[in-house]
Amino acid sequence: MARGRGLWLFMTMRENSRRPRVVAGEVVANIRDEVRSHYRAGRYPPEIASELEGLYGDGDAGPPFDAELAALREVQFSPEIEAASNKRVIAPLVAGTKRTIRGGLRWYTNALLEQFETFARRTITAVEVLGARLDALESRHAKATKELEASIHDEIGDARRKNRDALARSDDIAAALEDLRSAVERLERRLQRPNS
Amino acid sequence: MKLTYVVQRYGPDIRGGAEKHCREFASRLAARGWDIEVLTTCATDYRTWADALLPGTSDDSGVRVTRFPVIAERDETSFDALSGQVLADPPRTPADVQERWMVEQGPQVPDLVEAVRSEVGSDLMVFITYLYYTSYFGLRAAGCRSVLHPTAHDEAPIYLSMYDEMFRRPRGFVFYTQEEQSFVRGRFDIAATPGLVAGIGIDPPLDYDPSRVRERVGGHDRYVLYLGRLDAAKGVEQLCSFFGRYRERRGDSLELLLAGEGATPLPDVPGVSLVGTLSEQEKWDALAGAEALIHPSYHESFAATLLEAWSVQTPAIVNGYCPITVGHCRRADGGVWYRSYAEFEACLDLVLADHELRGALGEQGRRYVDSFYRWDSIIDRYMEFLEGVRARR
Repeated sequence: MARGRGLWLFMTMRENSRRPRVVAGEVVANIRDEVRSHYRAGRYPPEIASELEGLYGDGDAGPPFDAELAALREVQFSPEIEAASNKRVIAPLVAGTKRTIRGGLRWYTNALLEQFETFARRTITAVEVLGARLDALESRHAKATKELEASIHDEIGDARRKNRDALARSDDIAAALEDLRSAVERLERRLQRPNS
Repeated sequence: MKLTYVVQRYGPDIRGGAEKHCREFASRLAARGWDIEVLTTCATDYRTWADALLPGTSDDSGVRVTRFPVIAERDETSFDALSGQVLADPPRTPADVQERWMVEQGPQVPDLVEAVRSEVGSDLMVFITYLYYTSYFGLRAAGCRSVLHPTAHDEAPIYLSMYDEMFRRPRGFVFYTQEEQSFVRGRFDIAATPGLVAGIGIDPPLDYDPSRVRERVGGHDRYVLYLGRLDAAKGVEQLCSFFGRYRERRGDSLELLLAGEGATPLPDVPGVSLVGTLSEQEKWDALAGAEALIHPSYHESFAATLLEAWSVQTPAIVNGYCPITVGHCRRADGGVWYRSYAEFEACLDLVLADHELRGALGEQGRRYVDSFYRWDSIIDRYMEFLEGVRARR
C-alpha cells in the first residue's frame, strides 16, 4: 500500500545540513497516517484490524496519543537559562552577575536537572504503561462489543427463525383444521339428504 | 595506567555481548600501551557455568588473563524455582534470600573475589555487567578504585534492593547508550558519580560480497535478515508470524533469513530460512546483501547488529516498543519502526519499494556509526574518562 510514494515526501532540510535528509520520525509518522486511514476505511481484514483497535481506535477522542507522547519525549532541560537583562544602563552588570551565578551554581543545577530528567523519564514510562493498558482495555472492549453484537444478532435471527417455524406450523394446523371442518361439513350435508 | 577487568567469561569464542565488548576494550587498551589484566572464570556456558577452560594465567592479544575455577555449577531447576519466588516482587524479597539467589545464580568463584581483594597494583578495577556474582562480590572487595559497565536494562532483577548498595560502590560508570544511562540513573541514586556513554565500536569490514552468502545459504535474490539469538525474548516468533502473513497477503517472493542459534523451536513458515550461525565474513556479506535488517526485540542493552547493518548501508526495521533500537533509529535516521502487523507491513512495503529511501536510510545510518561508534574515537574518550576517575580517587 505504501508502494510508489516518493522519497521527497519525507525529506526535510535539517539545520547545518547541505543535503536534504530523510527524517525517520517523519517517515514513521507518514506510515502511521496511512495505516490509520486504511484502518478507518475498513480496508484491513478483521484479524489485522483488531490489532489496531488500541492504536487507532476512537480516533476522534482528541489529539493522537503517540504524537503527544513524542512531544513529551522531545522536551529538553537545559541549565543555559537566558542571562540577558533589559535594565537600562546596568544591563551588562546584571547580565554578568546572572552569568556568574549561573556558572557558579552549575554543579547544583546539573544535579537538579538530572533529577528532573529522571522524573520526566519515569513519568513518560508510566504514561506509556498506562497507554498500553488503555490500548489493551480498548482492544478488549471493542472485541467484547463485537462479540456481544454478534451474539445478539444470532439470538435475534434464531428467534425470528423459530417464530417463522411456529407461524408456519400454526398455518399448517389451521389449514388442517380447515380441511377437517370442510370434511365434517360435507359429511353433515350428506347425512342431512334423505334417501341419498 | 594499570587496569584490571573482572568479567564472568572471557575469550575469543565467547558470544555474549558484554563479554565480547569487554575483550574489545581490553585488547584495544593493551594495544595503546596500557597494562591490562583480566580476572575471569573457566566457564564458557552462562547457563551452567561449568568449567570448560583451564585455570591459570595466559596471554590473549596482549592481555594477561587469569581464570578461576567455578566451585559449584548452577542447578537450573533449583535456581529457576528460587528466581520465580525472588523476582515475583523484587524490592520486597528479604535480603538473605536475595543473596542466596545471587550465589545460586553464580558463577561462584570465591578465589576470583579474593584475587580482587589482594590485587594492589591496579589503578582501577573495571567490572562488566551488574547482574552476576563476579560484580556483586567483586565490587565489595575492590574498595574505592572500581568502575562498572552495568550493561543494564529494565528487567526484574535490577529492582532487587541488594543492588542499591552495590551501585553506590563504583567511582565511575560506563554505559552503552543514553537510554541505559537514563534508566540506571533513574533506578539508583548515582547522580554524583561520573558516567560516560561510551557505546561500542563497530569496525567496518574490509570487503563484503553479498553473492558469497547467497552461495552459502541458497539462492535468495531478495531477502530481509534477522541476526541474533533465536528465542522468544528476542521477538523472533512474532517476526516469523508477521513475515508469514506478509508473504501470504503480498504474494511476494521475499525471503526472511534467520541467522543465529537458539533453543526455542520456531514455527515452520514459508519463506523463512534458518541459516545457523554465520562466520564474521558471512555476517558482513549477509548484512550487505539484505534489503533491510529486521530487529524485532523488545528489550536490548545496545543492539550492535543495528550498527553493523548501518556500517554496510543496510537500513533497519525495528520494534517500535524497544526504546534502545528506536532511539538509535531516531538519532541516526537510519531505520523505521512498527508496533503492529499493519505497521510492519507498511514499513516493509515502503523500504522494499522505494529504492532511494532505502539508500538514504542506509547511508545516514553509516554516517551515524562513523560519527559515534568507531573504536578509535571511543577508546580516546574511554581512556580520558578512566584517567579522570583515577585522578578523582
